[in-house]
Amino acid sequence: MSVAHSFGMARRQIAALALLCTALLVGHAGAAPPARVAVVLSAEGGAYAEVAEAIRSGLARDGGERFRVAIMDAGTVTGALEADPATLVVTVGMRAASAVQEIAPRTPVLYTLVPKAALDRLLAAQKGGAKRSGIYLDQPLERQLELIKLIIPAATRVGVIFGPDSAKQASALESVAASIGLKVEAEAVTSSEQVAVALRRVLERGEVLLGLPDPEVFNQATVHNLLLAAYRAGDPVFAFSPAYIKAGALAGVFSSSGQIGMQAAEMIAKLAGQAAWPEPQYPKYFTVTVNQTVARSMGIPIEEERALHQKLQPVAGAGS
Amino acid sequence: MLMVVTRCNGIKPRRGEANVHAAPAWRPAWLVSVWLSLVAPVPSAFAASPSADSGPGLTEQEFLADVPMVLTVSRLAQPIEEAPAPVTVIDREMIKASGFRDLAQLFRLVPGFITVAQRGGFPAVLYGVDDDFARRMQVLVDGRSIYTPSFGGVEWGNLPLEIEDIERIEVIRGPNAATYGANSFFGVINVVTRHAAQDPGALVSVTKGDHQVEHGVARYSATAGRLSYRLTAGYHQDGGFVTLHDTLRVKRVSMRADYQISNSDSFQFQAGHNQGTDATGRAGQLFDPQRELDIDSHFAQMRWQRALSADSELMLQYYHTRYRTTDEFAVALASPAVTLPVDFNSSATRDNLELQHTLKPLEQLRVVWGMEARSDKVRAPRYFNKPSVKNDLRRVYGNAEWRATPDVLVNLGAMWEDNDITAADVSPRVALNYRLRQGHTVRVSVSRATRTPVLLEQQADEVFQVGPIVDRVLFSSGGLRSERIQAIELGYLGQWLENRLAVDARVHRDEVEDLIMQTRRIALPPSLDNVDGARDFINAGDLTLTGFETQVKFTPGPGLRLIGNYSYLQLRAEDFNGGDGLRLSDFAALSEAMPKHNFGLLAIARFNEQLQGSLGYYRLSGAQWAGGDPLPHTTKLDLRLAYGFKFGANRGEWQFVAQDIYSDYLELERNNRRDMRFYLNLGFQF
Repeated sequence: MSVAHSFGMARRQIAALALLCTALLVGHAGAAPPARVAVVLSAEGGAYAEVAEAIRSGLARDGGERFRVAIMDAGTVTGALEADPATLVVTVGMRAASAVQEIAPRTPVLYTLVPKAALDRLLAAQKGGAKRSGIYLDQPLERQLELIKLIIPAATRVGVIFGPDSAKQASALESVAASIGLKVEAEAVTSSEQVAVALRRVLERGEVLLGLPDPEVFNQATVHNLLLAAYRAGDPVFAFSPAYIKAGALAGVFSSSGQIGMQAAEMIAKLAGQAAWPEPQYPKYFTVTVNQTVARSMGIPIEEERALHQKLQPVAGAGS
Repeated sequence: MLMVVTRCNGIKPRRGEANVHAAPAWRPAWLVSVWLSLVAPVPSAFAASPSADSGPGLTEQEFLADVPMVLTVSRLAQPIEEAPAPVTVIDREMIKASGFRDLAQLFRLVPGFITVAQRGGFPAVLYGVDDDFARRMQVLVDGRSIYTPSFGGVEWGNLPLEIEDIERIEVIRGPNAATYGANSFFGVINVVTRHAAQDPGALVSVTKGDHQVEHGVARYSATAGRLSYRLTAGYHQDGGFVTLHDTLRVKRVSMRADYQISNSDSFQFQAGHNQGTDATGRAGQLFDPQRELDIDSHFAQMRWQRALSADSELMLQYYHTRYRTTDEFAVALASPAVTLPVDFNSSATRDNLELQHTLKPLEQLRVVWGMEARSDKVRAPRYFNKPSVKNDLRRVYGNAEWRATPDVLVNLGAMWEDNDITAADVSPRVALNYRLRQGHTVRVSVSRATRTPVLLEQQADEVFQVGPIVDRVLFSSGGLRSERIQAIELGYLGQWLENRLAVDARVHRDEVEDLIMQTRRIALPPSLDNVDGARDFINAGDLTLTGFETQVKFTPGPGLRLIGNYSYLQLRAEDFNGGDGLRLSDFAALSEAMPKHNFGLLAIARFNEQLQGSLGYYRLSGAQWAGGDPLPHTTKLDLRLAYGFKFGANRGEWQFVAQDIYSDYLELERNNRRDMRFYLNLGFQF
């Protein structure tokens, strides 16, 4: 169902070329020892290992001999960093981010595979000075809303259920939605038990349901009612993860672990040695996934995932 | 639930006198204990908040974690324009707006469908040609056949099912044996109940009206971890026709549990029990005195489903049902000294096992196939003159849906069925749906189906004996062939005015062979009968139905929805087989047995956030009802007003319903008269 496309090849080549030029000008090419990049994983295997692998191969391709990558586990990161100090740390997932945050090295840190809410919290708690940046796991709101417009052009009212974590995005969502002619019909809940009532109201007022990740709203206990009720109401659901598409949402945009890793590698290659680090970024590479079975059943004519992806590209960088 | 191609796919707080019936709704303690035992294994899940599983706050796990497949292929409805047969969906809004409290009445919203009742507690839903026993339609609840094996038809008043728990009703007009098996003759009704996770919280609804109308429904649903469950209890009383002794009183309890074994496997368990009394009989009738029948039914159903992928699924289902009627009385012959004890007790059980596999072997090909084994047992000694009768059946079915081009969809299906009553039959179907352009589709289909005689038709032997005098009332000579139907139809489905107007129209021609009819009394040898002969069942002849049907759903603007349906039906009973005890005129009368014109309109208006109104108008042209009397046309006009309110975070609603306000309404028989009636309902959800 999901087709990943690689884009930005040209951009990557230009970046590599720029790096090479800089290196030549400074005259240290080949002379400097390789930068030590420590990739700290929240857990073994799965998405975490995929991110690490994409970073390693991305750096090998773009950075040549400039980087040496060491992979560490969040549980043993303190000792590992003492034994093998790193020039730059990349964390993968929340556990790794917290572990590195706690030992608070003076080393620059790039956080990956962390939701925006958590990453913004981490950066806010950071004492000034150290170089910190990251890649949000969430897709920019523009991209999510544009996908809704692409698939349901007639939609004007987007239903959203905010939970304690996602509520912070309420005003941002409303202004982004207004800018592309959508109105947000929102209900806020503080616990899972309130989701059913909120859902009923949101489905009555909205034409589509936009899922924003929040453990109180989207979880094992609510998924059946959310997807079944939205389906019965004829409101397509736009989801934030491939699992929800498989479960019965209509469509969504996501970035795979490989895509996040690729972006991380590019950022490392670009930021290594730079004095000022930018604000965290939204995922640059992404995938559009559609549940064709649900689309067919709901009678929604829908384009190929590739075509939808291409149409989303112009807005891809927005909001970062 | 994929329609057509696949198959599946209320405590008693009565106003005023709550003490009278307070406890009995909970009497079926075994059900409660089954429910408790299901809930018991996960007590910790009750205590824990659902969010405890996902840890504190938002982490990457929200993005990465797998979740259960919810909209599996069998839960997804097939788009109506892709179905190989015409489908009418009655949704929850229509159910509510209709003001009907009884399931059988809802079929007035389907083109060509007729709901009539011999007595209030025993309605019948007819389509095509049928009498008040309605034997020519398959009826399923969540894939469980509720067509009774003994006498055919459905005991609508004896079902453990509350209207509040219905998700939607899919009605297939036309034969559909290829997917639903034999008896999917003129049509198929498929009632789909709500997933247990869909109504978390409690619901209480109380209704009080004139004509002894009283209903109380209470429901509680919750989700605890991977288990969702619902428990519904209800009490219902309805005085029926003003002219008849036909008050129905039932208590029901039903439950459903949906357990998510893994992200791809789910297990569903349902059970229900219905118990009550159904008044019948006429004053002064010796052999049909006024009395109350004790009726009860129960069922248990379990289903395991594995989603193999977004397009494929495996389903294994078993269910058991039992319907029972206790009807015992004494007939005073000559003098009170000589009485004849009579019992018309009957009990019918069904056990059914089914396996179904849905798959998509090629991008353009979707296949559903399955097999089913069923065992029906009936104990009704009065009707069969033996302790019990039985019928076992086995069937294999399959349907392939091939998208030949983006606009052409071909459906090929067939069912093979073998049973103890008749020889094995094969029922094929072919349908072609052609999309003219987006939103406009034409459909041509040809199908065959059979109806196996019910046990009564094949094996009836109803005998009364007083001393040496033997009176046989019913005597099946046996050897009946299945009724066969060959149907051809041309349909159109269109969307107009930016999808605000949906039109479903079709013309159809159905040829029915070997229609089974009850004869007049035929003479039997004196060794069998000393009185006046018995009635038999014979394959009386062939008839042809031609007709036109349409349903229009129109949303003129926000807050207004109109659902209109009209059908025209012409019957020709011409090929009379002859036979004992039946005259050509009896057979030819079938031509007038059903109304030619059938019109229905439901208008739903939302005036504001709180106030909603609806109007139901139903008109049938005159007919010489089979199993009834010749009647002129009838008009039924119902009105409903609903006022929603909030109390805290909860919702409540007042409903006022007035039925048959235009004129009195006659149904099936001259004597069956309904006059204007009202009821008031108050519902709470919290």
